[in-house]
Amino acid sequence: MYTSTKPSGNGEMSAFPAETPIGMCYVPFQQWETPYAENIALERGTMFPSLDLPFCGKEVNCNERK
Amino acid sequence: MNGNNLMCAIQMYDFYLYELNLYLDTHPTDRQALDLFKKYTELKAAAYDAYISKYGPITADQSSTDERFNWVDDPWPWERSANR
Repeated sequence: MYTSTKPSGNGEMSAFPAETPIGMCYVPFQQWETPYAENIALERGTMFPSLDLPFCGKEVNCNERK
Repeated sequence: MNGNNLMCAIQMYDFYLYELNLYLDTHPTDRQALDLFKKYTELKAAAYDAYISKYGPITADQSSTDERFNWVDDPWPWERSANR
């Protein structure tokens, strides 16, 4: 199912399965990345920058008609 | 390091280890994660020892059983001295 196309630190798990049939949803397999320092990690609630996804509660790009 | 900093360090190390634990659950052979897990386990143990030797046990199982169960000697959480 998962064959190594890109090293993910787990040795053989790539982000996506080799065969990815259409019409399916996929969550990419997490890859190792340089983590936050422990004080930042505690503050941000995660050690992985790519999981640091705060809800800002406003539109990212303003769609208001000016 | 005073008590506050030591407790902060303990909380940071606990959180970091928990994050690494979650990652290692799905990536049990990840070299970087394993190295970090080992490093922070040692850091956490050192921080615990430093804190306990100065301020007493954090959890009851860390209490001394030589002469006195010093777990009871701490200011209890609801006491004013514990919330300065």
